Amino acid sequence: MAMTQGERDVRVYADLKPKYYRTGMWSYVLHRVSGVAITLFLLMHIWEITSVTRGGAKGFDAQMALLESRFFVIGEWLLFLAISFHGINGVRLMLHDLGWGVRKQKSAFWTVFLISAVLIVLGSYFFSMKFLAYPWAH
Amino acid sequence: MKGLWAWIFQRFTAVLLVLLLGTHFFVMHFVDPLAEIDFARSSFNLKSSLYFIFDSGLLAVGLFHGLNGIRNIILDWWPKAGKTAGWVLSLIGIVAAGYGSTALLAFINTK
Repeated sequence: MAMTQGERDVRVYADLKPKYYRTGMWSYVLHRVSGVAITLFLLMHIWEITSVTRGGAKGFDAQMALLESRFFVIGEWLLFLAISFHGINGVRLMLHDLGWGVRKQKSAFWTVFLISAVLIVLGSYFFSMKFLAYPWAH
Repeated sequence: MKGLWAWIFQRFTAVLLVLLLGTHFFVMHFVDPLAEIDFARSSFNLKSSLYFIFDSGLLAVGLFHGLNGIRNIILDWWPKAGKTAGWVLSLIGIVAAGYGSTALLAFINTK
């Protein structure tokens, strides 16, 4: 790419096409996508828990029974992936805010990726137990 | 100045969520992954003040962090809509926190 330094700076900051994304931009996108997903889940979670105010104890138990299906276990697992990444990457962002590792952001991101991956593998064991146990005998 | 407070609160709630949401998720999904979640169990738990304060805090802190995060995205992409978005998201937050609180109280009061 035959560009002067100035032109390249304009492209890096102005062009939001994923074609030009590098590690930092992907972590930014992942952080935001996971954040929006978790927030939408939270609103849904409030709706599902407040079933107790609409149908009392019976209404709540009926709602919980509905959420025991494999479909929702997969949903919970996806939520777990989002929370793990968002939380650990969030710790990285706060450390950078405090001035720690600002010049090592890329390796810090891959460290986050690795820690999330380990946590996700460990946690997935519990979700697979729940997934395989369905339908429950109660 | 207002923007600075929102920024500080976003970090403050982030730290709280690592602790609170981490504990919540661990207790609900990993301590006994096959435990049934029903009214009896939730009601029993929420009648202890520790659970009640914990869940109330999680409701408020989670809503603030999530909705303010959406506001941050709107400020990045559509800065002109930031003020309106702030009011709309605050309203959503207050309604959701209020409605969520009625459920927490219902677990204590419903027989």
